[in-house]
Amino acid sequence: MNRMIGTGIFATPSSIFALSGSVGLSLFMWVIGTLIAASGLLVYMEFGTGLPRNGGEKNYLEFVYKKPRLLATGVYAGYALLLGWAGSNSVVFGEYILLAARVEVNRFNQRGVGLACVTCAFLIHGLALKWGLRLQNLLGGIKIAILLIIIIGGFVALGGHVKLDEKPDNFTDAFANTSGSAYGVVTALYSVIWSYIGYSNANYALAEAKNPVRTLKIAAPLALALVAVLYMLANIAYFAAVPREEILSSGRILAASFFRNVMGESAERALSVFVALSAFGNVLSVIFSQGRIVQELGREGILPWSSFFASNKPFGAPFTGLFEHWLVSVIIMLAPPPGDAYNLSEHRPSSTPSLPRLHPQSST
Amino acid sequence: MISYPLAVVNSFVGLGLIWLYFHREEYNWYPPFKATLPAAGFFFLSNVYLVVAPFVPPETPDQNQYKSLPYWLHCVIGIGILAAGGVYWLLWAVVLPKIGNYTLERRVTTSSDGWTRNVYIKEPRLKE
Repeated sequence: MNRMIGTGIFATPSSIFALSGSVGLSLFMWVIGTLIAASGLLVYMEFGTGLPRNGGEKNYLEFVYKKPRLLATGVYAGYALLLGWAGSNSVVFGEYILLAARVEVNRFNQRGVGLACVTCAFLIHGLALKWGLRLQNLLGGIKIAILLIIIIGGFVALGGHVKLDEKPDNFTDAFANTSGSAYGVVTALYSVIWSYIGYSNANYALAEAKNPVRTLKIAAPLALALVAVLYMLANIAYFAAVPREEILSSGRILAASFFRNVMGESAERALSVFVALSAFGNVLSVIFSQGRIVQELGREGILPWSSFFASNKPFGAPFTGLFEHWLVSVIIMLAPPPGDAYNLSEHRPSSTPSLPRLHPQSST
Repeated sequence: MISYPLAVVNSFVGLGLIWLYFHREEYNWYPPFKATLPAAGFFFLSNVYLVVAPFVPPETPDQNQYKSLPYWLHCVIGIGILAAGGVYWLLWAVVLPKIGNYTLERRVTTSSDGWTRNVYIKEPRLKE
């Protein structure tokens, strides 16, 4: 469950709202995205129970698409090796930490903190596997706690207790201003699905689980159902406490605006630290999974220097696989200049360029 | 940008499962859990939608995710990354063996920590 909740829920509702134009369509997008994630979960569960190996969809593609020989593996290798998934969450971490520290976010400090974040995650998983997993679980707990705080705060706000002069009124006429262009809808849908991205993560480390079939059959659907309910409630909470204009301008720090409106400024800072920590938890779990995919590709023998990537040396963890992923994430995080190129390198580009933003780079 | 190639991969994963349903014996595919055909079909179609829909141009320029870049750029780069893997495969598994006149043979080795892995060995092609 920890891996399923991305930091998306603290950030993306803002851009989804901007793209769909109305509260009603926005919530509807979350429902559709959840359905897609649920069907994906079922598909991955069937493959996962049928082929319980480390490495996830790489195995499934190889199993089905046997001809021409090794083509599926080759294409998948490009995809797994050239993309740096850990980068975007590291940047979220940087943004929230700086927010809590009351430091103005700029191009260099945001990326600098992000770099420290992804490097820490890599070193922990590479050198001390057990501690990495423990930390990952602890941070996952924090994440769920924050979500619960948001949801409870949302009900408080619905009751009219907000620290604003005027209570936000987002639910009357929920479908007003619906824009719903095809392009906006699909972009919003991507964001929702990104928030569920972890549903397949369990499949990557299946060979290391004690009872893989049982783990997948019970834990995964339960986690998805819980997460779906939490997401819906959190969205409603945001709409209850943050006025329309503020949602649109908050970008990636929507959760922070929420805390400020419901609990005041000191709470905003404290909770920002926890959101940052949960982003760190995500970086940990993403780098954990991707490192194993790289290792599995090495074991498959198709990469140059395969034995290097396949090894579990020197600390009983796929150090070299983790390293490869760390390197790509760092390049993607640090290399692009600000602006469009930077948005492009993130998992999902900025969605609302026409609106004023607090941070010019705050795109998810 | 990262989620786009994922949608491509997931389309193939979904299609793969549908394929398995219709070729069960051939693949000896009897896993302990079944996603069912409607779920696999829905997953496949929704991912195809996610692959195709970003190419529909935005109605107004201000909906474009980028200020100056074309709206479809991340899709093309995403496909390019998958294609890069394909090019590597073409060189490593097709072109180079042809030039060097060998075939790639798979051997399974066990490393000192107990994991098995594959090694591809260049076997000279026999003259016929």
